[in-house]
Amino acid sequence: MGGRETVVYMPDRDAGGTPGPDIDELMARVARGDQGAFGSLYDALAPLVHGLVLRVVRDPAQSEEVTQEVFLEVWQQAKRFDADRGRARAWITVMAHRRAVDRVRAAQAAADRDLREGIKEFRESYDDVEHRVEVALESERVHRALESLTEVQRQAIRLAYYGGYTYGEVADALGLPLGTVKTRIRDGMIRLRDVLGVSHG
Amino acid sequence: MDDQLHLLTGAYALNALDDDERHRFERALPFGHPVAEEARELSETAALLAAGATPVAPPPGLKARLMAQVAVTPQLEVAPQPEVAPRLEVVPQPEAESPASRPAGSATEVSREEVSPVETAPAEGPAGPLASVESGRFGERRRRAFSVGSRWLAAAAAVLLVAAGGAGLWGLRAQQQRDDAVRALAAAQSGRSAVMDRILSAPDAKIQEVAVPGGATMLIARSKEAQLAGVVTIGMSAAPQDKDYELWLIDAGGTAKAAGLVAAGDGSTWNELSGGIDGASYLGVTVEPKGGSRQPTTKPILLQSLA
Repeated sequence: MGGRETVVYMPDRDAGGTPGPDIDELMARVARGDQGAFGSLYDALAPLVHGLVLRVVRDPAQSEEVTQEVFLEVWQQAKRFDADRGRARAWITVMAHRRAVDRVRAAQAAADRDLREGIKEFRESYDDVEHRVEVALESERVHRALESLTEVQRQAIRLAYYGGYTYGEVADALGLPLGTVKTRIRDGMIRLRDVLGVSHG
Repeated sequence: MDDQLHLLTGAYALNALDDDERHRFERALPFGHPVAEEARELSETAALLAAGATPVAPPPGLKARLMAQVAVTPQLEVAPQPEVAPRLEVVPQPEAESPASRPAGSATEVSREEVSPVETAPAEGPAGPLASVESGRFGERRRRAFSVGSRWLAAAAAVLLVAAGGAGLWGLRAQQQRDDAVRALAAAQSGRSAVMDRILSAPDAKIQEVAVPGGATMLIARSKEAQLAGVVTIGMSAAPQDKDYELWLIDAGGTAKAAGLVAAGDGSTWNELSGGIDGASYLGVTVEPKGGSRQPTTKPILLQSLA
């Protein structure tokens, strides 16, 4: 993935006491129609959202469109987002991932891309990224958590989440039975949930 | 599929189900079901994986474009309280939930079809199947499995955006917006969102973000090709009593052409500059007596080069 020149710090760490805008507070103001707060929310989360979208969609121009869609939707839906402390960022991230996956699948249907080729390329780009020095604490935490998985769990989750592939495609790519991939993904996600400490809401 | 249902929570959280399977999964899970709970937790876990991608700053122009869109895009209102609805004599919708919970084929859905020629990004994609999911039990769980149905919501939002924006219906309740949506669609073609949308979709679209003294922001959007231009202000304080802010298009020789009074607005304003900027070199704003002047009578509070 050659178009990745800008590496920035994650603005919203919940560990380490790094000063940064309170995303939930900004979201509450956005829900009251505060456009300035929306600008600040964008500043705080755009690198995270765009990084994720770019990772999944890969094409820079399409990624820019998706990122724009996501933030416009954040604005439109803000009043409906139930302010539940600590959730605004997850809400936006989930929306971004969903839209990125939608985009990549629509593109896939149109172009009928060669899955195996795509996955090969994806793996190479992943390795490239992986060797960079990651600066964000949270990113480190996620990478460490991923390292705690078995190889198959890790591959399957990476391909599904960062590659935007369905678990059926993942099974094809890894040459494993569908049922195996299904359970490996679930086991892996449960492990990640426990390692990353996602609590009962 | 029921025997295997619980095995799909991980793939569901990763958006790794195809559309059909996703819908089946969502439909099959009653609210509070342990599998639904697991799906929610794993969705939250998946959200954390976003931090595993290298953060990348979007291109600088994106923020200005978004701020311009946001300035002309109404927010969807919160759905009416469910406990109030049964007491009303006439309730046009079968459910008193959000517009998202309306079944496909309702008025909102029809109007989405009609609005589709307008190039509003969130309107794309098949909304129907998601809408039917939303109308069922899963609607109750939406808040918990927060991402579901966002496409349908976006489609509904796009209708409201165009309809409410075009007719200038800021601040109206969601229900009224829905009721008026179809009628307002025709009017929307000449309205603010429609114009902004046409500007933004022109290949030579240009947006300048200008700081206005006093802390407000002005966005000047224009396309030479489309011969369209408009001015958005955000956070501009009201003009002094008996005064108006007047816009001017000024040519290289200093001749000013009146371009309208800044519309009164709640937090933000929108003025179309009819005919586009038409060769002007500057946009100026002056404070004029109420109703405006033919020529500027005061020193501009803002003079922006349109280079």
